[in-house]
Amino acid sequence: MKNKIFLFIFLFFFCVFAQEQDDDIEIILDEDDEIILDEDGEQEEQFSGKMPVQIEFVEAEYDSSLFAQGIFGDVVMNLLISENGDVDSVSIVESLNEILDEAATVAAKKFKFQPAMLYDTIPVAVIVQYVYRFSINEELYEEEIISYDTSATNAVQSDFDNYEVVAYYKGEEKEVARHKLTISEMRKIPGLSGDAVKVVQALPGVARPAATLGTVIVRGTSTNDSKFLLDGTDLFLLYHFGGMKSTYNSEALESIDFYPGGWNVKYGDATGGVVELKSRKPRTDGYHGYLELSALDMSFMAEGPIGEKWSVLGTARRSHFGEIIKLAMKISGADNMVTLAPFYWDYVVRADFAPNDRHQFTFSSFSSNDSLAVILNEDATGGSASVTSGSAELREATNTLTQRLFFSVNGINWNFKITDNLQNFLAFKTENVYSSFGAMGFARSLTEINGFRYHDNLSWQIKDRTKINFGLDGYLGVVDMELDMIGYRGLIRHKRDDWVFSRTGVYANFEIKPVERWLIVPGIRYDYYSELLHDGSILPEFWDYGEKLHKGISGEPSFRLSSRYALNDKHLIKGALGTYNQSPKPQGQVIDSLYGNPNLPTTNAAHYVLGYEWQITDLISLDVQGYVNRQWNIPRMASYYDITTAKTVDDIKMYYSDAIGRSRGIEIMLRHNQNDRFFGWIAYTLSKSERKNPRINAISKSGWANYAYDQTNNLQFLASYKLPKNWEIGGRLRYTTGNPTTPIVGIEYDLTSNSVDRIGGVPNSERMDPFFQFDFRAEKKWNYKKSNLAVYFDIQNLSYFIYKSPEFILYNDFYTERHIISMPIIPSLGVRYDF
Amino acid sequence: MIFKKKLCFLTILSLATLAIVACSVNFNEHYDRVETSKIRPISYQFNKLLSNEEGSWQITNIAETAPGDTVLLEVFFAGDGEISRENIKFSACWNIYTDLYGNLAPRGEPKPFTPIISKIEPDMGGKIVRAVFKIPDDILENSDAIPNDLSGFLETYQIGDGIPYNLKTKTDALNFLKNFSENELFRSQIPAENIIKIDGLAQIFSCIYEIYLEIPGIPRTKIRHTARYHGRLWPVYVRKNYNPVLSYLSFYQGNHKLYDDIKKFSLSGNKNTYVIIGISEGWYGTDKFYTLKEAFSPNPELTTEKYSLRVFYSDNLYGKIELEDGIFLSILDFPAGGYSQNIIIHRDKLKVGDKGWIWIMVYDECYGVSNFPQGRSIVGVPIEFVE
Repeated sequence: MKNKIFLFIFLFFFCVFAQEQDDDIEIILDEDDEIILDEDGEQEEQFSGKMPVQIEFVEAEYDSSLFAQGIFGDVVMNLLISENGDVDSVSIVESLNEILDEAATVAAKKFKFQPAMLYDTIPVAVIVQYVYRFSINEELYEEEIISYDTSATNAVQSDFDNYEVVAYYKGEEKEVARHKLTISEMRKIPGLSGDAVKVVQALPGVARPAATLGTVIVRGTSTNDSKFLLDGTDLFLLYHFGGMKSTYNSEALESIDFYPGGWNVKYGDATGGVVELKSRKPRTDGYHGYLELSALDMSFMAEGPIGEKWSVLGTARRSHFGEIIKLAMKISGADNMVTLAPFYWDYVVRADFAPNDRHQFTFSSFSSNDSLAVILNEDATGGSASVTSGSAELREATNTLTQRLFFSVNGINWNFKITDNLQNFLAFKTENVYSSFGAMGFARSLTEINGFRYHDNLSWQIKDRTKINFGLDGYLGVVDMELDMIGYRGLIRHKRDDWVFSRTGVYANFEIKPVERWLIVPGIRYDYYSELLHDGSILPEFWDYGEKLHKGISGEPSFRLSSRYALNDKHLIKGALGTYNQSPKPQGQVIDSLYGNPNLPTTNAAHYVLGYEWQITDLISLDVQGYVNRQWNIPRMASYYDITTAKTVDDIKMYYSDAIGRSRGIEIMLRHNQNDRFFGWIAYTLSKSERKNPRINAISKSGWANYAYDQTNNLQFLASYKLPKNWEIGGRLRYTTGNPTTPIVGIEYDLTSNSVDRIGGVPNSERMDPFFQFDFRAEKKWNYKKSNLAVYFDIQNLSYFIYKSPEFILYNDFYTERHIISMPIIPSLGVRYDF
Repeated sequence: MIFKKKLCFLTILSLATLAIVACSVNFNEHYDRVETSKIRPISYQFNKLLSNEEGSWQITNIAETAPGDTVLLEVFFAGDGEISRENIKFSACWNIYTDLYGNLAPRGEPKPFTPIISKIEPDMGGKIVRAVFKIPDDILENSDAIPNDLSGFLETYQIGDGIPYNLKTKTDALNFLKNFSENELFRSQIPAENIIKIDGLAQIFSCIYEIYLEIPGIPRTKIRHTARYHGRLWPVYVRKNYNPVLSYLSFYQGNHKLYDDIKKFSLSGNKNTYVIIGISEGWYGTDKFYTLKEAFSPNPELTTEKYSLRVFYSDNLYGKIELEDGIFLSILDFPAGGYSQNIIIHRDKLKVGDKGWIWIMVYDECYGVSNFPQGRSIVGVPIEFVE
């Protein structure tokens, strides 16, 4: 009942704030009107053409009483300028005064412009920032006459709030299942603490992760099955500390593309979904930056032009939550027991160089570090006793648990417009990873990875309705790993030098339009995995074709086909099917000669997607997708069942690849794009995802069991609204079916381990109670001439007071009692200064 | 590569979970709380038996069980309940497979066997089941945990280099160990510098087995132990493991920094006699501190051996007295020769006349030793609180 009430409230606000605008799909427009190609050579996501030119100005009415109060200055507005040059909507970006804001808004709606022109030929609707300046004419001061001044967007130097200009342009979407999100929307979503990357978890098709973890469960597949990219190449680590905050500063991002399935051949080595972060180019309209202090960390950014052809951006963050914990423990006296020393830092430096219209270079350096130390002090060890357990050979710091993960990515992106019809994108990045782990004398590891990643895409527009893309991508990494750990056989030493991983992928796809409204994109791809020993298939597999079609090379072909057909301007149907494969994950571990099974094959999948899009109004759109995904050759660790049932000891492996998965569902996304005050969406997923392996087959009647994150219903409301006086508030409401759990059908006393073992029934055949959560965010901003100051408050799980959503189940020692662990309320306060 | 990320993730997850759980959960039933109305197993001990000239068995206190050994298994059940020799079913799986992730699983169904079970009588606030049986002679030969082809196996454990024999198969290795244990001439042919490898070789060629007890009304009890040759090899070459001994238990009253000895209870005496403790005695604050000691192993030269302590409380004493332990007590070093641990007496919760049992169990572990056979001891102490 409560959920119905929330649904009603949200729908009410959704309808109230929905306002009609002219166009539909939003793209990003660079202010300085440069052509920037993405790796497909696509221009649809960047603007190339002319900005709007004002041809008619209307003077705002000014209340003279305000002059007496000394109120004058700038009102900064976002104007949505339609294809015919009219101002369709106005939103206040920087408020001056309530009366003056209103006066400027009324006047701005009467302005006339020459519309923005895409490629200098196509009129498009754009949002531009406009400064309406109420200033005092000193000479006429005594007469109390007010003069005015205006500035067009590209002349506004105090545009500190939204660098990117959002254009509502009917750009051609070529993917069947892509959700494109701009950073200006995402960083204000409640419950994400300003971390835009986490927004993916609020989209349809993505299961709710446990607590604040950063897992991305896409359409019933593991996080390992999804690919995370940064500007065309793989991102080594998405989150600090497994989900605390994204490693790449959201402020340095332009957009995030999320492909939950059925994506084209541009991306390989993934069977679940693809999340691509796209970094943004530095600003060239002056020097800007920010300083921010939040509950987790401190950060800063600075950017600006260097001459006419260069621009530079730099940002860095360092956490301080560890210091806060340390201080709290000291005050409470708990530091006598345990010392916690966690911290992370990261930095991004990006330099853009555009020597001419045909070449654009981006040089980037991105590093991240996570460090953790847990030190047991005297009180934790019972006074006089010392912690010296574990192996003598592993005893470097036996009272300390340490972990460090550092990586650095340095590279270059080169956009080259060879001819008007031929464009090339190249990304090349070196990657260095250092990881260490030590656990009180029980385990110790050191890993160093040096490698590189690359991606090249050549786009050739053969005819107006025919385009072809060729691509090459891959990586090569040399791993030097030492791992010492205590197992049941005592001390196991494992050292491996010069372990080489590499993948090479080649692809080609066509974009064909038999008629204007119909786009067909067939593509083929081949991925070669040097670290695997399996015989790859000679044909793209929509299911396991069997050994006869597997020969020799450790590579897999893929075939993918997608199509979109516009029934009219408002309605569109779409569909996709394709085969996908990836190196078995977790990469390296599962094919290790000692700890894994070197003979594992690629994990394979087939995706089938059907969808429908409805542009309900200019700002409101509906996307409905139905999907069926199949996965096979899923690696799984050997279990008790495998060991007990293996006919001979030679049949016992550390890992098997006999698990299969299936998932199907319907996803609905009702989205209201940002207008002057409101944006939000409703995302709903109805899904079923299951797994099957020999053990499940033996004990489940159907032979299938629910996937651990199978959530039948997943409903999310999300909304943000700008209030007067520079306040902005937002809410996020989530409801999901409870996660599956495995019933306990009996117990056994294990006297050697001093414990009670549970005997489980059919895996994941029961469920926890539903999950419900409400997050809230409020932000207040103070604007100054060239800067602003914002204070925000983000509170997660405000609904804890009325409903405690189950997160984990904790049993007592005998499994006779259980306790549901709920996520507590997590508040976050921050202050930010932009200039 | 991703393995590291998982470790990071698991670390954080564990810490977060611990923090949350520690603050919020309070169950009624705990493993260390013994409901005296329900009998349940809490500890066991293996003893290798030696036959003497009169044909009777002699208890050695050696926790080793080698192929062909006759052993005594004592399983202690705390609480009240009926257990008779007739309704206990013993079974065993002599072939337990272990993989490198620590997964243990029986290869094949457990096979019933009939040990010699002595008469079961109340003891130490519960009952002790004493069973005598023989470890199969071919337990190591038939173990799937030891591969038949030794290529790579000895290399993994860095053992083979020091053995001057071409050990290609499991049979080769086991024959070598048998000869070494039985044939002095054979032993003399091994260079002295390689003798040190014998202990390691015997560790590698060891296996785990499981004994199961099924008693009506009690969930199945599983006991895991190791079969290896150490008990048969000369002590000069290998280190046998013995069961630790809880020799005596002393109670001291006073500030735990400044003991004032007023109570002492010897475990060598009648273990069923109540220890009388006055709850009103005491000079320092609201609590009084008593010290429990000592546990030691008779083979203190085994310097890497560690001792862990578990204390069980009968339900009428649970929460009223408790061991003052560090939160990570289970991984503490427990120096050979003795150990002291404070027991906190919660005077505000106790009342005159409260009485019950505590059971103190100590067991040893030896990290870095393959398939270390765990030694154990348990004693039960009745306590009564008076004015």
